[in-house]
Amino acid sequence: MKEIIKIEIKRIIRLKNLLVIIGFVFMYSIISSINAINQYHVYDSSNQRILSARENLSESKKHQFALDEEMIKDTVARKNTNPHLYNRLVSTLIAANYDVYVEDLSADEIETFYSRWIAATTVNSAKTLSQKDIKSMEEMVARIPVPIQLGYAEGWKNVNDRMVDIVTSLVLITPFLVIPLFAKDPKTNMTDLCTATKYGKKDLTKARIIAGFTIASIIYVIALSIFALTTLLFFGFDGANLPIQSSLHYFFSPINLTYFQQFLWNACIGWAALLTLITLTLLVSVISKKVLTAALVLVFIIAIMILTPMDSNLHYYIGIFFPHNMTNFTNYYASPFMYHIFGSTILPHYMAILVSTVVVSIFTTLTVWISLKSLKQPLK
Amino acid sequence: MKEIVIIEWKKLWHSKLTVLAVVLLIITCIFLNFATFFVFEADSSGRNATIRKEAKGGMLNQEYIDYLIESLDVYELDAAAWYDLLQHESYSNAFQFIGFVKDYSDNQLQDILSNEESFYQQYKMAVSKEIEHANLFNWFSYTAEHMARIDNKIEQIQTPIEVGYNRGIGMFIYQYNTLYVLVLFVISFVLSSIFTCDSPQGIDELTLALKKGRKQNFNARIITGNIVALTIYAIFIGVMLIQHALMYSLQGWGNSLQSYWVTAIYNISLGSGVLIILAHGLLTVLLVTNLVMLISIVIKRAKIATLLSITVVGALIQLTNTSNPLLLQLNPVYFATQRFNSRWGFEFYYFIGNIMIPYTVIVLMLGCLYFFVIRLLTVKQYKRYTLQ
Repeated sequence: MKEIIKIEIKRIIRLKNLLVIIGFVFMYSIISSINAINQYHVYDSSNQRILSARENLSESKKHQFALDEEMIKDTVARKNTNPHLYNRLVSTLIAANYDVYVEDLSADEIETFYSRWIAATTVNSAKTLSQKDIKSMEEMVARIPVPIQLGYAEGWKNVNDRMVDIVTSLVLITPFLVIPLFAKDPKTNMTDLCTATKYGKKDLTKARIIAGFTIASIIYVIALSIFALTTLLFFGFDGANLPIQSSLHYFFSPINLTYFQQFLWNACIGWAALLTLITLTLLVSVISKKVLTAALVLVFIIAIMILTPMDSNLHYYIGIFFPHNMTNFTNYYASPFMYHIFGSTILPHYMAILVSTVVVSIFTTLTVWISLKSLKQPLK
Repeated sequence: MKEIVIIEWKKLWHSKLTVLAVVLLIITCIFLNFATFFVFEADSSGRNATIRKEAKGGMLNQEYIDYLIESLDVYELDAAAWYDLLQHESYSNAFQFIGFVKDYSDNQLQDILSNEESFYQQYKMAVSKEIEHANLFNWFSYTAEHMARIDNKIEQIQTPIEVGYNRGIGMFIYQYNTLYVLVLFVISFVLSSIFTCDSPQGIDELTLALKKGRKQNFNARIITGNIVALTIYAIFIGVMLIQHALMYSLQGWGNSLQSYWVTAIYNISLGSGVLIILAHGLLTVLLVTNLVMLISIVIKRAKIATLLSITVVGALIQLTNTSNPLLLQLNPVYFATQRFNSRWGFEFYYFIGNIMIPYTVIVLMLGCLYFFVIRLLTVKQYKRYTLQ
């Protein structure tokens, strides 16, 4: 079986092609990181650069602190007015929690910073929730450690924010590579010979499915690793254990995660989305039996998934589990939906993994069944 | 030549891939149009709103304005009520129009609607301001002389404008812009094997050994490819029009162009505007068709040619998301889509000295240039073509 899997993998993708893919991903990662670094230059009101990204980031690496009452008081009193990232982050986060200017905050308002933040986080996420879910949300928010630890985590923030594009591209493009596993090239038709061999039926079908999963997983892991490592080499590996609430994007997120945990969740959900589309591709190719036909059908299935308009209900029940939507990682952390199974409340990132596991199982079973059924048909 | 074209046409349409591609295109369009219909037309209680209301059509003149004021009490409307009326198909065009003038005017609604002449003067000023504002996002800037030329054109807009129910046409335009890219993908699949040596519709030794040489056969294939693309495009438009006619009705072809694209400065009907959009779409279809055939003749392998064609089409579509306006305006896919989706667009203008050139003319010129380059590169491949 192992040998058959290896042969099927080599049939689809050779080392040379893999190196080409790695090269593209590496170039994209470098360009993305350079663009990201350029966002950290600081300009004054007349558009003159007053602080370079390098100085900004290297100074910010030296500061890690808690967003506690003392820090808020210092910020309000404008004791820290330098334009460095760590200082601007504090002001921005404090300002996000109030409707007034930071300098105008009173002592009472400073004291109630976290009760206000907890209320805002719960309300922000509770817009579409039932009363029962709001209670669950409040319990989740209560578990987030306060005061929030702030520090340098730009490497991980950029990895998590920018991985959407590369993961979505991998999810949408990789399935086309595995079409030839079951779809045949008419010029090199070896079907009859393969079917006549000892391992040419059920074992070959299983081997091809495993090969499909393996190819997709190898490309995904290598591409994502290159992207993450390149970004982290540019920005540094610091801050993996800081909470996601230390960034403005997820300041009001009710989910208690660190950046590293968020990255792992994003990677897993992306992988689940990829496998969903891979199994769909294998199913389509086993039915259509021709490479171009399978590719055509796959293009239209993806187009329908992307172009179907949805209202909020449809999006909640179905849309959010489409592979290209699963890679919209912000959905899981900022104002997440809640789901219910057998009375238990489930967060969307768990639900995404669960749904994709079920879908992958169904598609895989159908693929095996259809493949074996077609093998039993008389040869034409 | 005619016989070869007919033979190649039959070969293409006998291919299961071609038939499947067109069938999938039709099914996908029908499904997505229905999905959009159900999502967009559901009202707040979840039921589908009745969209064919009794439409008050006609000229947006003093009589119409007085009718709106008396029957709808427009001066007492708050933002929510105003929004509700915008959804009400009987008056939505009039309210879009009035709302546009209101947004750009410093006057109260009572002053804006006090009389027809003053209303349209303020409308023309609003158009000028909107065009000037939109120019801020372009890669070139209008000078004072340029704006004077544009204002001169704006003065020539014929008023009062004709409004009326045109929801069907509006949704047709919206869905056309959304689903147009599917036509390009279908063309990529159908025509990428026309010059390959490993497909039934492709080239073989016999083709290269013809009495009159390969040039005639290759030119016939190019003509056939363009006719097939035209046919697919026509099927796409036919399906869209029929379905929107059944779902929404297609009233409003005679309405003024400004009833839909508020800042357009052509004195043509909405129907003529739609024809212009379809003509842009046709140009892009023909460009992509010839590009796909060029890829086919260069690559010569069906699967690789198809993959490359889809990649190129996908890249062109993705590049329409750029924030660089120059790059956008050079993109053939942008010719056909996107810019017609906004109610505040339809046309913008280039200037050479003081000569005002609509972007539509630039599109034609760019289209001819691209076509010429593709044709030159394709013809160069005729003599070089081998089966290895």
